[in-house]
Amino acid sequence: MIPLWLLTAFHYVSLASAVVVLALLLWQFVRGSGRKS
Amino acid sequence: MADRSFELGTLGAYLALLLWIGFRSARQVKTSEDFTLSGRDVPWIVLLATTAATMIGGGASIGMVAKVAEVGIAAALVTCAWHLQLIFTGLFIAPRLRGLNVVTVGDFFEAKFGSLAREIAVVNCAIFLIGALAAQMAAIGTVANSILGIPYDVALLIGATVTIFYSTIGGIRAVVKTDTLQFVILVFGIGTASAILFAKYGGFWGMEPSASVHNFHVTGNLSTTRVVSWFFAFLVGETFVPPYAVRCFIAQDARHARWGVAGAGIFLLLFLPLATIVLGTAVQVDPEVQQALGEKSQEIQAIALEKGEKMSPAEADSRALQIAVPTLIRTTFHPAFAGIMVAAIIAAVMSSGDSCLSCLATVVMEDVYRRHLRPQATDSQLLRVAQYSTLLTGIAATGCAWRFSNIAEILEFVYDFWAPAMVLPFFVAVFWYDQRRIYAVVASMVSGMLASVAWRFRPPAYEDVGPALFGCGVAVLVFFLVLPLTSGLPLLSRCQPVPRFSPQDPDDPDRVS
Repeated sequence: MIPLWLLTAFHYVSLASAVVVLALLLWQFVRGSGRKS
Repeated sequence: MADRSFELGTLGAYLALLLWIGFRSARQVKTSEDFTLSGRDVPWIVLLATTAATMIGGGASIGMVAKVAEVGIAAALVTCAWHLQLIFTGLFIAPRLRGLNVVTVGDFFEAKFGSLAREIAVVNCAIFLIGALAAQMAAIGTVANSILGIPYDVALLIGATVTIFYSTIGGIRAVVKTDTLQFVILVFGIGTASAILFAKYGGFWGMEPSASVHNFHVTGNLSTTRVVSWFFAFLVGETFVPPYAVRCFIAQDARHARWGVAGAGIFLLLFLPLATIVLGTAVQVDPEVQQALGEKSQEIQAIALEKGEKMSPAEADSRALQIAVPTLIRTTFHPAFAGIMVAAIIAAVMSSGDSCLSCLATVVMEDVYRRHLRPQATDSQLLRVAQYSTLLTGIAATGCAWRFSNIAEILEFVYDFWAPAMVLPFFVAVFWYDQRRIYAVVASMVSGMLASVAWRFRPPAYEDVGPALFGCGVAVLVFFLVLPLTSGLPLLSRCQPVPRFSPQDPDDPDRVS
């Protein structure tokens, strides 16, 4: 059985990784829009 | 009904947005390279999004949530194999592929193992892409039908029309942009849903008492052999398949290719298994979902009885799980957010389908038309061929999906077919390349393919060993048996590798200066 504390820790890592990747994409989008204008 | 109106409205807005992106992308398509390779200018973070969106199809999203609900978290842990192969491909293969400036997987095989290996690779690519495309088209119809209750034929027609439309006019440029949008919706939808459900049930400690006994065990309620075979099938089943190979070709340079593809693997490894575990365990513990699943199971058994078919309660329970995710979404979230989740699920399927469609058009243009029919074709002719190929293969795949809607069977066949022929040559090409090994590679490709097809008729005692595992074993065995017998033979013209210019990677041993 996998320890529940380990799964919980990975769950928070999972959410944090989603936030980081979405922020990086937003940054790329803003940078791309800036270049065009 | 009001709930469904929200969901249908969100889905309609999402499809309209895809069409608008298709129109905008079409304006940027001037050459065949724009259409098939997006002008080779995609930055790593966008590459990460499009690769991850391609990876998360219907199977990896709602399919795996249902599987976790059925067998426990083992199902989600096994999917780590997909993400590990992406990390490996990104770190070691992507820079090489980008550095060689090739257009298709066939080009790579010709550069390393000659034209005979190229033709075998092209046949494999075509079989994989046709099967995967038909399966994803069928998935669009099935998913929309099970979630929204839209008739399968109508859902297939609408979803396929939108996908074919933006892929035909905008090529891979439109595919990359729509994939990025689909990725954002997917990550936002799945991430928010897992966070809300985790809080609602008091974390894993709160879920454990109501979850199934085997849920948190590493192998769930399956045998260790079954889990290992499953893991292996996932590890090699999609390794180096054309939709990922194309992501390597379209990057700005070798560095962007490496971190775009490997980044997608790292992100998915961190994000998807845990989100799937939370959603799948929530299905097990939510009383409303369990009640709905029980009713659906009884309904399925009653229908089977009416038709005179034999069906065990366990099989009916398994089939009923197709409504698990939509039911969970509706019982937990506000209709507006449920609408976003529905769009996210449809997005998962469409983003995998459009990649197969785009790759298939590139194979027809580059590996068939330019190579065999018209080697001197102008760029505008190639562009037209690629566009018509997208349209016609899209329509043909929709026709197949209309006729055969069993997604799992189609996907199982193409995955079993791909790995035994293609994975070993990629490894040899990248880590152990020598022209004296070309005959052994070609022999392993043919024997691996034949062995995996023959193993489909295996005795029931070996049911747990899948055709992909058996075919790969035979391919490796034949490679090492043929190698000492052929390493001294002179190369026939069809086995002569064709060197390619590789300005992107100065360390590439194949670089022609």
